[in-house]
Amino acid sequence: MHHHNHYYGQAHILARYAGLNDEHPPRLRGYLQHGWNIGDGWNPVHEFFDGAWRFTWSDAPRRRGHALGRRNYHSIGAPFLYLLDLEPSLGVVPEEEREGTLWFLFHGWEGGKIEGDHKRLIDEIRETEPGPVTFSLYYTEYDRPEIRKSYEDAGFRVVSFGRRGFSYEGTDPRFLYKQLAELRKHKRVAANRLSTAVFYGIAAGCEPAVYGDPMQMAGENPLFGGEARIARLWPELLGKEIDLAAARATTELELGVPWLMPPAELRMLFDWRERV
Amino acid sequence: MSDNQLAVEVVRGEMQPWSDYNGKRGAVGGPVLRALLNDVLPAGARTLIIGPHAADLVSVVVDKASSATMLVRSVSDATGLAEQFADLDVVAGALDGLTGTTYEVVVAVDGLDRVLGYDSDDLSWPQRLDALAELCTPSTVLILGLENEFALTTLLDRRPPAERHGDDEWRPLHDDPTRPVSPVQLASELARVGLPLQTVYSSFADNTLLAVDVAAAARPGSLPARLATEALEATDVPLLAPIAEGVESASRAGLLASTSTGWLAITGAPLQHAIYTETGPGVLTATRADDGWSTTTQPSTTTGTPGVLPSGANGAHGALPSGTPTSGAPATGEAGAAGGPAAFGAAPTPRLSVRDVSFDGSAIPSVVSGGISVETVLLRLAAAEDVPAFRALAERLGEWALAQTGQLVLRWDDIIVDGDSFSFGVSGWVAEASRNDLLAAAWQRFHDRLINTHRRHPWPPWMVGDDLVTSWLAMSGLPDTRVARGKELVGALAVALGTVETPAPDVRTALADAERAKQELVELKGHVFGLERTLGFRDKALKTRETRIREMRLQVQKANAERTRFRNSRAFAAATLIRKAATIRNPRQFAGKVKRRLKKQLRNRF
Repeated sequence: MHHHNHYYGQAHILARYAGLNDEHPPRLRGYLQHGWNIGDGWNPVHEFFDGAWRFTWSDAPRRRGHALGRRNYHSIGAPFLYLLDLEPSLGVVPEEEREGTLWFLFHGWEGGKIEGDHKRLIDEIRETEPGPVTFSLYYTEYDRPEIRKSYEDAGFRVVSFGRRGFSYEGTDPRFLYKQLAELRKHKRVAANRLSTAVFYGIAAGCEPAVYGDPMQMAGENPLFGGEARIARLWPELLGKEIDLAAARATTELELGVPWLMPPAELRMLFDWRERV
Repeated sequence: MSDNQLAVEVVRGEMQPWSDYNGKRGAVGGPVLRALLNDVLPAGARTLIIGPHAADLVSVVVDKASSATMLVRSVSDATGLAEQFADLDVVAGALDGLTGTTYEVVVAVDGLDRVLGYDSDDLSWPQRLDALAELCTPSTVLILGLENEFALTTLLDRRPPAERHGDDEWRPLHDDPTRPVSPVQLASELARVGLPLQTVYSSFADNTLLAVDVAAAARPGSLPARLATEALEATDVPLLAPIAEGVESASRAGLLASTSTGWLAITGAPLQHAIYTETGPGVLTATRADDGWSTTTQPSTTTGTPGVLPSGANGAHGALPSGTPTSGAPATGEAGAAGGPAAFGAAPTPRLSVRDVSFDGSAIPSVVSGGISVETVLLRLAAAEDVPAFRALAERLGEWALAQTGQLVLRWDDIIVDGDSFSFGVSGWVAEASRNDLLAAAWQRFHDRLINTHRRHPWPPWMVGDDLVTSWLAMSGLPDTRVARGKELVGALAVALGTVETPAPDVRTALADAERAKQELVELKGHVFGLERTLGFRDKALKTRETRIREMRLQVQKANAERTRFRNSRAFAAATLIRKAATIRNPRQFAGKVKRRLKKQLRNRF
């Protein structure tokens, strides 16, 4: 189906969970949400073919999509949650040995680069974070030496988990595995925008924080209300010190824990069952 | 940054992109609700409007309130409202996001189904009422709408439930088991939150409001039942069966109040009129009188141009095709601001013209009989196939109609059996036409309503149409009356009432149409068989005659042959000679002539 389904190796994870070949995951009959957002799970101008089914992580995107006139939704829970189930020990260290902060910079994509004051953000991170900081850059920023160097010069360890790929090419199927392993080593997860990585971090046991210059990306579409709407809807996830219990409760909803399903059901849902 | 620069206050739960005003359902509004608000709302109160209300309702609230706040869930709707109403504080967001103060008046005519966003908690109807009650005090005047899940239009809706509510139902609000589904349950819920109910109206597509006790007491053919039928027939819900039958059954069972499209509950303000209904360009109100109804009309106070916030009402205005010429301008302002209905005739009545008919409010009687309609009686007589009684009633109707003055378009569904005579109902549609044509229009309209709804009647199918109307006119004392003008009047009236036949009839009617076509086919086949049989008889008769003719011809030929043979015989020649010889009177002269002829012949020969 759509090549977005392979982003970050999500289709690979679901195929493995379903007991199928995860090197070449089978065609998934529909569109798979590949990141958290405040819309219906996809960007506002994403094109869908008529009659397409949309597999969202949770119910909120389904509700918003319904209001947009879209139907044929089925919430399945985020593939990252299935990865947690598949890899209970990947990167795990004893709780008392988890240290530092894995910090995610709001990233651009192949079609849009972010703009912001990185120096000021570094200062704020230094003031805030109590331990060592690992800075995660998406490859679009990682490959820009001026950005990567500014964080390395600040004394941060800079990592990148790879590429999500495009048109089935270049996808790092271990992207989320690497991200999970890093998260499990860190005590905190932080970002300058409430984003997918923060929810992943909370799900992996990190204490979250969202602060700093959110920066801008050219061509951003504020159709769904932007940062102000996030502040109204998820105030419990914004700030440097966050109530962990409230954050975990919200994360369970946003990543779709109640919608997780057993492998057999997933196979039928994706039309992956074997036919005799 | 990726934020919108919003011109209105926003609280938690707002929706963007979204519009309740531009969707299929639109905002609640229309002249009937406007008239009700005019009557109910106290002046100078701190007022809150919750949910999408059309500009005509908002303007009433703003005019009456000391301060007015409006909560809508859509940011774009809120922005549009703020631009249109300078004196209105508009807040975008969900009901559970608005807290911190109470209001003297709360207007929630649209109900509690469009007050949450897709990011709101899944609040049941009672929980939404709880949130609403937080904004009220025990003395707050609350006007609260509630859609009825047991409405006739819902029961007869031919769409499956999943397709009825468009994009509104990201959560199935209408499946909520705690939602009130009767006036009693609604009153109980309001009492639970400390807002004792004073008045409940049964709402019929927001075009007619009937106090619930009036609706419950309505019987088929009575004024409330007729108004309910007319309002429901103008809705655009695709139906399984004709709505009029449902209204009739419900009113026979005393269930009309329970099967309306919704209810309007009012706390903190007394009942003003038992009936509000849209009539032409205005609103007719009615209160009980001895054996009938005391009526008043209020001219419409809206300009009908809601701009960016169109009215969602499906009334006569909305039903008019675009470009339909109208004459006269509705009165504006004062009637509503005065706080009471203008007495009929005391204020200029707006006129609305649709093709051949126009509205004249002054033609509506100030007191209308409480009896049942002539149409109800005629339909019963037709169903009973009691043609003599039908004929007698038609004769009386003809006498009565021809004795009337004025130009009201006669319609048996609004003429009332009033003791031994008849009286006019609440229709104010008039036409420039002769009395004969007005009577023809009455029978033509009855014909259409009888035939199109597949009611039982005794007339054969080939009479249906002009012949049947002509026959009824003859029963009314007008033989040989032309029906063409009556048809035109009926068509114009249907346009004015917004009941022009829809391209897709209800399923039962469609099936009955198909069955009727099938039956007609069978009957026509029978007719063809009969004609063929007749032709066969005729053919046989022709063959008999042909044989006889052939026989006679042979006889004639034989006689001719014998005659020829006889004429060629020697006997005939001798007889001829003898007959000629017998005629010679002067033999000498004859011999001389013979001699001369012989000589001449001999000369020529030699």
